[in-house]
Amino acid sequence: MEKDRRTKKLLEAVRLKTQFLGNMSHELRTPLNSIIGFSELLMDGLVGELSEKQRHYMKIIHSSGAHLLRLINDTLDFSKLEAGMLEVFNEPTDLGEVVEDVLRAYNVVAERKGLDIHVEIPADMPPVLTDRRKLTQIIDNLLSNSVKFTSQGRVELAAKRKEGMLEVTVTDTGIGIEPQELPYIFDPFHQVDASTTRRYEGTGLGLALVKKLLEIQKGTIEVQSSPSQGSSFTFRLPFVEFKPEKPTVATTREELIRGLPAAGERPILVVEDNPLAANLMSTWLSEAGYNVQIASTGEEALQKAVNLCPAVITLDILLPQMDGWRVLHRLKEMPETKDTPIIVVSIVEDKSFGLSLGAVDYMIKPVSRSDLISKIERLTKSGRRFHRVLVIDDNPADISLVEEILQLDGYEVLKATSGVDGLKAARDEKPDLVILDLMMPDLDGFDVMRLLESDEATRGLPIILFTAKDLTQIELAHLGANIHDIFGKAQLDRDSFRQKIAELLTSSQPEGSNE
Amino acid sequence: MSRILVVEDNEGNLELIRVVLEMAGHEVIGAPSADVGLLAARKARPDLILMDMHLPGLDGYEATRIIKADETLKGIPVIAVTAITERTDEERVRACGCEGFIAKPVDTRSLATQINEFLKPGGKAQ
Repeated sequence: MEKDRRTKKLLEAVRLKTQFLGNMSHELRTPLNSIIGFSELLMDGLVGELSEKQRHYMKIIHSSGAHLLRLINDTLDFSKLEAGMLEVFNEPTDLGEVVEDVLRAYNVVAERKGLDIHVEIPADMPPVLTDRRKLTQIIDNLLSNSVKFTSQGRVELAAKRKEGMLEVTVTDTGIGIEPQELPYIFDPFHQVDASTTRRYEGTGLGLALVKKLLEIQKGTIEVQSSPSQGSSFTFRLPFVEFKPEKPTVATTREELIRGLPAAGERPILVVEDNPLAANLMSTWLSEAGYNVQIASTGEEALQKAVNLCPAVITLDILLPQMDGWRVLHRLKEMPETKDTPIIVVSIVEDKSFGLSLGAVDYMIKPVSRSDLISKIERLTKSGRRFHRVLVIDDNPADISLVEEILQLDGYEVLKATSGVDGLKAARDEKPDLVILDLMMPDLDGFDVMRLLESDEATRGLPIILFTAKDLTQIELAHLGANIHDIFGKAQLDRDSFRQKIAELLTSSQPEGSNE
Repeated sequence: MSRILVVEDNEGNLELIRVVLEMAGHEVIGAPSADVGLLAARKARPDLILMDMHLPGLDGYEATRIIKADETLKGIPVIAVTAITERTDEERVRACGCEGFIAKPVDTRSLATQINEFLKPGGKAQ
């Protein structure tokens, strides 16, 4: 008991310390903003020309401000790391882009010094699932050191995929590190000697930060160096390849209604040569429950249109080789595809030409998710035959739990991980029922209820609360008429949960089923 | 030229943003607090709002939520001016309804370009 209390107190102290540092760093950054900004204005001669000397002093003010800012940022990061409060957020990350972004800041210095910066990343390296911000920070620190400590020669960054790891090596021909110093270079505030601090200003936190950032992501770093020859830092991070998610909703729905001939179950063919745009549309459509196929050239589009018998085709116009106009013309000629509805999705604004060639609709890029979905829905008519349930919860684990239960009964599940996303989904997707968590950051469940009720588009939408919070009498009294039931997260009775949902939904027809 | 409302409690920073945007040909209305900012938004109908997120009293997150819940104001893009050090900071900014953010300390050399991105029809904020 005593131990528990002490641990709690300690954790609270750590939290307060980090919060204090967070506030503190904001307070420190605010005046720095003016120092850096105004010195920049003066330096750039935007408020009158400065003398040589004035310009020089202004530069010192500016670079000191920038240095102080870096110190504040590093200190804050470092203390968050120490307190275990820096979270890892993995996302698909293109290493080449990260390196390019970082180098932009050093190109000028490198050029002035006459350094040759060389980057070697295999062209076929796929995006890696990692924390982009942290990867940027790591590479930024290593490259900035190399550029700083190298007065002539070259700086090289080479990356490869090796034994399930991403391996990046930054090599320079700089001043190098004495062997006896090597064991300490990753210690905070250790700089090789006091004179280097003065000569090469730094925070003394860079490498310590890099090491910690790697450690929290199961990564490692090592160094090889010889004085006046140069240094070579190699870090490794787990290489998790980014694979776009399969349209999960579509597969489960497919299984559920196997054998039911419905236009909605035939795939949507997205003809689009830009992989990013194709991916985006594909994600939107599969989230809305469609099976999506992609064709990236005109030829592929014609072939897939015949073989897959899609319910709808979306067609880009600017395609390599055979352009969209010719594809459209051919599709309308072939007996297998002449009745397939085609929506042109392009930056080319020529609606009348598209319609005259037989397109049913024409959308100008960039298209919005809701426009695209509603147009496809209209064309697939019986596409939505299942009740749609929107789950709003900031905890992904709770969403998965609810999703699992809902899928037992074949409902289509829409997910939102914040109140704001939930409101948007409720408006755009018109679900038949909302399952709502109460305790969420920013917009909480009470706000969501109020806003759903105040918006004409979502007023009257039935809501079931799914919460870990014990409601007070006052809170209970304030719940609106739309709240049909409350289920506790702690001991969820799955059967009555399912029954309640079924009751609420059987009385209503799914939206769009009888269009 | 656009009319830009800048909500910022630090006098120096407000002046800095004002100078840079005025040099870029915009009209700038400054508000030292969220309350004044909301009032100014209703009266002056700016084309864009630059919102400091750390404000005394009503903060930038709450103010943005109020703007986005107000039928007459919600069409005005709100750009957060804040130090984004972590992914969660960015999510918080998005979650309250901001159309985008500009990193603090503001880069005087690119501020006007960044703003123009949000002002363009069909630009980032749409």
